[in-house]
Amino acid sequence: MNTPNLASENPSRSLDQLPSAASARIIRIAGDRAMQQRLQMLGIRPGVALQIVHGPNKRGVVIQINGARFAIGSSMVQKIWVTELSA
Amino acid sequence: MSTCHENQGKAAPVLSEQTIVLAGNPNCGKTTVFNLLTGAHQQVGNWPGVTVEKRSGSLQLAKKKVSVIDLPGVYSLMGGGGEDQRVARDYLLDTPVDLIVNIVDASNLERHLALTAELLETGHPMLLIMNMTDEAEARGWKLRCTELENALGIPVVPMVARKNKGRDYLLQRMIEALQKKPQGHPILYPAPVEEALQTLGTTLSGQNSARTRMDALRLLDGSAQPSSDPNAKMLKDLRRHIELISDEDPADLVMDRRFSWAHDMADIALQAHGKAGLRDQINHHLDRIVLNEWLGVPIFLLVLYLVFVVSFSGGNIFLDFFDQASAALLIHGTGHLLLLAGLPDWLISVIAGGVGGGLNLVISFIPPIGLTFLFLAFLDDSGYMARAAYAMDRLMRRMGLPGNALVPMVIGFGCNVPAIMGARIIEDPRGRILTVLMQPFMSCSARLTIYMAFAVVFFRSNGGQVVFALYVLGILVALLTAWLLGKTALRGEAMPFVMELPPYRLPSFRSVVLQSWQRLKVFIFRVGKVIAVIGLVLFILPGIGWTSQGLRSTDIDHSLLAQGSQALVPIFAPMGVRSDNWPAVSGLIAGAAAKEIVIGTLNGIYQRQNAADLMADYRHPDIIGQLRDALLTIPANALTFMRTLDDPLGLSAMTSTTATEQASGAESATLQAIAAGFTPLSAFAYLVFVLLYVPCASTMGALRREVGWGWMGFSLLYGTGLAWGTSTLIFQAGTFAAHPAASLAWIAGIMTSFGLLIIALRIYGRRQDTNSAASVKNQAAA
Repeated sequence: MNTPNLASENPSRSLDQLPSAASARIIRIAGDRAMQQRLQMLGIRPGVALQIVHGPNKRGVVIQINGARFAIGSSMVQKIWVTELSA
Repeated sequence: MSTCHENQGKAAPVLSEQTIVLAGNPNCGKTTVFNLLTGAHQQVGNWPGVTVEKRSGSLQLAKKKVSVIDLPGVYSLMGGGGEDQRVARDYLLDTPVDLIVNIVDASNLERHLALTAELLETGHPMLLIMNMTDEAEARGWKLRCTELENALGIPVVPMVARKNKGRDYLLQRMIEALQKKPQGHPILYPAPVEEALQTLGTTLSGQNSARTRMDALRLLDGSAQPSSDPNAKMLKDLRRHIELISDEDPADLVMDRRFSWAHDMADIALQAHGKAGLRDQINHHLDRIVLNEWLGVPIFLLVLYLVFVVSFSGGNIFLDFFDQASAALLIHGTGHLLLLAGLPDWLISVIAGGVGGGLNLVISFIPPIGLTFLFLAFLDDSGYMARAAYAMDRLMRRMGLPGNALVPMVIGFGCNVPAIMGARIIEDPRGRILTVLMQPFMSCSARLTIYMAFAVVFFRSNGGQVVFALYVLGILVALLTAWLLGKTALRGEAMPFVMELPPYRLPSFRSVVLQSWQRLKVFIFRVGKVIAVIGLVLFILPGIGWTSQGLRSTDIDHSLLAQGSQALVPIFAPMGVRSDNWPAVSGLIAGAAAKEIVIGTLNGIYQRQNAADLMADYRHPDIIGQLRDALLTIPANALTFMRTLDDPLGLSAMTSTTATEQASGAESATLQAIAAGFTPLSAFAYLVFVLLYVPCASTMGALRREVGWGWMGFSLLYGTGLAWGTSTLIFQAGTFAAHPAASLAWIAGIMTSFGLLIIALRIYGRRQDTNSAASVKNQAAA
């Protein structure tokens, strides 16, 4: 369960490895339960499609999910696993 | 009309008024709707027991008074949030509510509707406001309110609250909803989850079915812990059972159901209609600049700089008017009236000179402080603050703080007390303690009154820069404190940053004005009350003294106040307080209780020192003439403001002998006395002391409540020591040429003490680390 799912057509990787302006779908969120719950509350959860609007850079990344933008700090970015969606 | 709810058991007052509760996500425009509904009829206070801001107000609906409560903005009622979330949940579940008005952002509907799903489960009558329909349309969506209304089973009202669109229709639907009590169609979870909720419900003693259901849900998804071991075992079995049947984690099942419901509802409500337009592009381009890796931090500093310089310079245009007009009416006018009424001279000087003079000083600071509040409210509503927090995150993290520690710091510019409480948005305890300990160094609006009075005397042409420098110094000391403690006594890592960035919005003028007016009102009343009392005390203290015959009425220079302050003057001598300037020390003593009264204290003393010539003013006041002169200062100051625009840094006035000269033109006796007692350098050192030492008794109280006696005591000693050290450094460095040996000794002494403090903190931190390591080991062994 703790290994990224390599079976899908695009390999999953952490959010900070995506190119800027990419679209992706969240596969899995690592980290403790409290953090997962906090992200879930904001609608950042597995199965959701997101678009990168700024970054990723040293500071982190800004993503857009539907109408809402979220800033995610660099330490959290590495814990969000996604597969890139081809445009 | 308000029928007894089944849940009225909990000490609820007998309600003759119906209660409407506003609920929604942060950034849904809830506060704007609240302001739109209640206008000036609102109070700002705290929720009982906790220190989350509570806003309530009233509204006339169908000729009846209805009370309106603005709940804190939350993403969910379940878990993952802080104190705000608990307040909202407890209010909705344990209090009789006649109507929930749920406000959602139409341009971000799906996410906002997830909370709607939870609200429907509370079983209260409900109404939905689709706010910001203009933004949804700009995104290329067409709204289908009737369809959504049918699907939800509750009234749906489209609005653009920011532009005051849709208020009448909302009122009409609210009247209907209060009569018909539409409860909508709450969602049902998959059968195994519903069964588990039933079973869990039997172990809970909720006061009503909604409370029981919510508690059961929170147990199931892990937001709450079971109360006893048998219950914990039961919960474990239920979870395993659900996982067995549905092959999914129960928490995921609940969440999935709620989000897919929100998704379906958003599908019903929105019809794709065109392409996303200009608005998204503006957001995008602004974000590229504001969030830029290199520009983010400088932009934030520039924004803060502009807020304070424009507030100060812009406020200066009206400051003299407010000052002179209120002096004419409150001091001279009141004094004259009291004289005519035949009151004794001493009483007149207490009322007109003490109380009136104190109020006069507060009133003259209304323009700059009001403008500061106005700009901060504007920034708050514009969507910039969240970006600033993100832009500062990396820098803050290096100090061992999360980026959202910035939010309390900005609140701290208004008042340290709500800032300390605002630190509750930071989830991890270590980050919260650090953030709380930083707050006393944030320069609050009460301290601004002192800067203003000194700036008027010594730094009139570059006051904005001096005040800005003090604010920056406060920020730097706060950050260094956090960094130092994070490296020594409180070691660890900051929690990761996750925050919504709301779209940029042009704030509603009405909402910004109302919000800053409420804060200004609290400021004026709190300060006014304190100053009136202090005016009285300061009449008695300087009037009696310890003489060879015991306690006797004396002149001010031999009073208790003077004797006490003179005894303390030597301590403050290294930072430039001259021995004849004992009132400055009295001001600092009073300032430990509340910063608002420092100037009031100085005022009280100086008024008495100059009591004789004031009585003459009361006999033949020229109030009309003074008011006319006051009015004339506005165009004159506006002209100065325009002229200084091409020298925004005020560099031409930095060589400040001219500033001292200008001071002699200052009208009030207090300002003149300040001018006589200080040099520009010692005035600056005094202001630095004021910035850094004990903020006020209320702040210390808040500190104790949030982090306990130990850290409060540390903050008190550390702050005062640092204040003394820093201002002495400044004064000694500035007068180095006059007495190099003494200055060098002072500077070396301060540096050494600071080094010793760091070592002590480091030892404390090491011991804490060993303690916690030991306790972990013990737990592992047990």
